[in-house]
Amino acid sequence: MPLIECCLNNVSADTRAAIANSDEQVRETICLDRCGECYDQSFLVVDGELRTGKSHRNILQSLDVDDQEAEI
Amino acid sequence: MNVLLISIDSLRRDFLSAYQETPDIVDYEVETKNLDRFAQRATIYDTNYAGSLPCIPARREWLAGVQEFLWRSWGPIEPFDETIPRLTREQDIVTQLVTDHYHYFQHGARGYFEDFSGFDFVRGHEYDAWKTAPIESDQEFLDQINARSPESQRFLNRAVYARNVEEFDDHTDFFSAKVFSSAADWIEENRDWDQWFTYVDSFDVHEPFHCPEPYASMYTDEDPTDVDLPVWPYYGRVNEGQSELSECELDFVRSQFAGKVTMVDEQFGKVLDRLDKEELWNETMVIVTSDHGYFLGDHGWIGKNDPPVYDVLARTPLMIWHPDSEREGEHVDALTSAVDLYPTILEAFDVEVPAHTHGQSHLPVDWVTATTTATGHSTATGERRST
Repeated sequence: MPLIECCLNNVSADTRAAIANSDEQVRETICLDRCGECYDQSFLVVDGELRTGKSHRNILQSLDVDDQEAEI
Repeated sequence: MNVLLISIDSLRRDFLSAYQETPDIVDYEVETKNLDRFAQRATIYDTNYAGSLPCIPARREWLAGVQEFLWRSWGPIEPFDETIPRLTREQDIVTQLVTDHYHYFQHGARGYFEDFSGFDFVRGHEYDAWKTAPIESDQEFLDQINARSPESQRFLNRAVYARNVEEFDDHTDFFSAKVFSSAADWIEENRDWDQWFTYVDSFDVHEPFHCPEPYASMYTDEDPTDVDLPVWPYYGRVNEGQSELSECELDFVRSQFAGKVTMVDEQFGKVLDRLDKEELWNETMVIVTSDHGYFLGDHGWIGKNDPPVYDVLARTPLMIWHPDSEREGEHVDALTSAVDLYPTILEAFDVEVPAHTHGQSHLPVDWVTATTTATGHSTATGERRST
């Protein structure tokens, strides 16, 4: 299971709740030192790698696609 | 009386021989001969704690006597604050700030340097908005400091640091060399003033742990320019996520921190030498401290901000030389805190201490019995002498 790190400055309360209720392993922090990306767009750090997207939902969905492709 | 206040940012007390021979997280001694030399004449405070973390809040404690945690976060000097440089200037005491701490000159931190008679700002540390060229720095160094998107003009872009140090050659170009040289020169050039207050605020040992030689290789056998060895790790857990470090990487980060400690120590020695040369010890109180420590794998963490406030972060070094002290080289176990420096410094100048301060003066001259304490601190033992 990947470790998802999210910056509390970058997620809405709803997104935060959604991520927390997902099956993913999540770590929230007050700052991930990714301030440029944080200012511009939604982002998560997945297993140490920066992932950006139009929304956190999109990023999480892309992770599901990655998992499915990996299984294939 | 003169007062020289020196802060060495992020300086872990366990890296100083005055506190213990070998740091908690390495098996080698770290050379700090000048801090040791100062400790031989100073009173060494064994139970000194940060009050407000990190960085700028500590400065408000020292300069304005306000223990702002939990009432306020990182922020400016408030209009109602009565800072040391403002109060001492009213007594015609000349005041000087020497620093490479660029946070004083950023959004949200106004008021810290403005009250000084003069200030010297050494440019370029960490994210200091200084150099704008070249667009692309050395890629291997960018990788080593975890810099991404050099072209981005967003705030807190690590590529800024690479530009700032692009033309640095040897250790004399680095920050602590410039800060402490400037301080030493100021002391010599201004010795004719009746009284002075000089605040030297060194951003080192703070990351990036980018060390010049000989310090970079002093505590490691690795190649310090190896692109796979980080000098600016992300904050967080050392065993997961973007802050994960292998054992080799963590050892390397520790070695670069240790190298920086030794580098700063050697530069700090310039100030001691100048005090010797100008024969100023009998008229100068000297304070050496730090705002906080830094996790180097302790309790599974690297950095600061996220972890619980363990002693490695909050228990800070404090050594004070006062010409009238009877405690040269002695350790004091009384509980003291960062905010106590405010009344201590004002009292040394015989300037009236504002009644609203959260601090308690602990002039070393007061410490004349074997076990003593500042008033108001419940865990210390003994009695403070009335003066």
